[in-house]
Amino acid sequence: MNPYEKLDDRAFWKLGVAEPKQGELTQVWLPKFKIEKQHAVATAGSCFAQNIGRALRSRGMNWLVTEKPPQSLPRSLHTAHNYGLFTFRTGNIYTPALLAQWVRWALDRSSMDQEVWETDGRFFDPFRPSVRPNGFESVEEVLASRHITADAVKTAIEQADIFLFTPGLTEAWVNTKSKSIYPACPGTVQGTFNPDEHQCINFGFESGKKALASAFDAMQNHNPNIKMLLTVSPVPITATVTGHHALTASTYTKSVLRALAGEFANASEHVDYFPSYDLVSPAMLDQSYFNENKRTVSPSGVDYVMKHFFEGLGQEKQSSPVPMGDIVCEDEILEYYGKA
Amino acid sequence: MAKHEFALIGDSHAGTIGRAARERGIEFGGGPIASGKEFYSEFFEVEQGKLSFVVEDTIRVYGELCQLWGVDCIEDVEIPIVSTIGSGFHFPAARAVWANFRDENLGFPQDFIAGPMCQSIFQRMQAPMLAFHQHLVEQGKTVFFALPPQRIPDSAWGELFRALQNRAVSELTKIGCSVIDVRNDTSDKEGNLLAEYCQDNDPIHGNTALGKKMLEVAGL
Repeated sequence: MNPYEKLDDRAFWKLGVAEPKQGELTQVWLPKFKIEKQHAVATAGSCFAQNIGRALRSRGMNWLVTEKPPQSLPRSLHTAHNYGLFTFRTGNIYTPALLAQWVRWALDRSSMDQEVWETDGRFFDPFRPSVRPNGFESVEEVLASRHITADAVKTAIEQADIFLFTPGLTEAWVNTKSKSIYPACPGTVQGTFNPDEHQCINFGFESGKKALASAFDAMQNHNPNIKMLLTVSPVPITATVTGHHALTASTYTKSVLRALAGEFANASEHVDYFPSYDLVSPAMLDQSYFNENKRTVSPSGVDYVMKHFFEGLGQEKQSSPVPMGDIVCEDEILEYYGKA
Repeated sequence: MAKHEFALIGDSHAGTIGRAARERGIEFGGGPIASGKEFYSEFFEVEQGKLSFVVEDTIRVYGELCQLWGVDCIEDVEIPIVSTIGSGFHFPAARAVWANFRDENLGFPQDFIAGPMCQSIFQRMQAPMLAFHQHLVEQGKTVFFALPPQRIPDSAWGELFRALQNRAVSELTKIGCSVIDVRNDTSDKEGNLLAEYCQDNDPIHGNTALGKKMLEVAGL
């Protein structure tokens, strides 16, 4: 008698992955804690995380949105202005370090960076460079908007039962003077690159885990009931400045994130890991879940991931109604600009 | 800014083309500016040779597209324009619109659609979208009009959808637009879009495979 003899099929590669009895993977995720329909779920992270918020909403779950668009903004522009993508309007939060920065700013406003970028008389937020495609009117407007987002992050921490975070990168750009972390390299989305001020840091396992712990500790201090659900974006990196090939750099990035998410979840009963990355990325799967660019996840890939998510929650038999008419067209437009 | 190969503008069907172009890695700018219903009313004006939209939301999105194209107005665009404006034929073909014209069998009287009254209604309905494309052609623009996915939702009459579509093809061709028509390659015997080209969980739109066919046919 040995410990393997009593294990379920799912514990074995052959029976769980290569030749599952039902013809497909099952019980890939057994949630550590319940997520019921009434539980408020906040979402943040890289672009893949946008799919999760939408899926939660379409299943009638309580997707927490703490930063809503002003009534004056047409619905067709909500996505372009970064509303409705995540719980709040931070834009993508690719790294644990950037999450920790937003949490710190939300809970201690005096720590918030005051940097603003100006281009051709328009003003942009270095920490949310894509929230206003045409920029803001003034420095004051940028800072006021950033404070609104920080308020929304704070509200989310206060109100969320589950904080679902999907990191996607380890490389991040940092201001060498202020030490603040940008979501994108200055000069790419907005701003101007200055080699004296802007430096890339490739966060490793320990520093990434430390940042994640800093963020979650601060959240728990503010809301002792909050739980964290981690998942890693399966979307490979766009580019690397490490000098490595994009393939090996991406493998490093995802390996670090997957390991630290697993380690962090294993260490706490209040943190769980959902395997988005694991479900989509393996090369030995029957089909590719990536688009032709071999980077973004196809709609069928997103559906596949979310199917496992809802199966894990015991909701696999529910389906969302097909919307009709104007709503379909409006949704199509939102979807289009959401992926722009 | 990368050099765009074409400018895209339209209703929600433009999303099918835009997504396909992204997947193909084609540099382009644009997308939907409003849902299809809007283009079945007086949706634009021309003043001093320049086109402007009349609905506030659309004005905003159009402004953003012009910025993306690097021009002040669509008349200054120098690359081919791909349009789906007015291609949402399921709106003018809506059952609710035509309910009072049905006969006792809940269908249309013989020759009704080809008759002068129906054709006169079609003419009034499609006048704005035809005028829009005519204006662009008159400004010397190369204009492609993409036919919509051949999907008729339950809310619309199939006969009217197709009659409106045929009329649009005829009139747009006369105007000088190139019509992107992939119906032969993507439809079944009944003329309905094959399942492999349908957007999942959506009764109206096409998927990127359809968009790629359209781009191929247009040579973009």
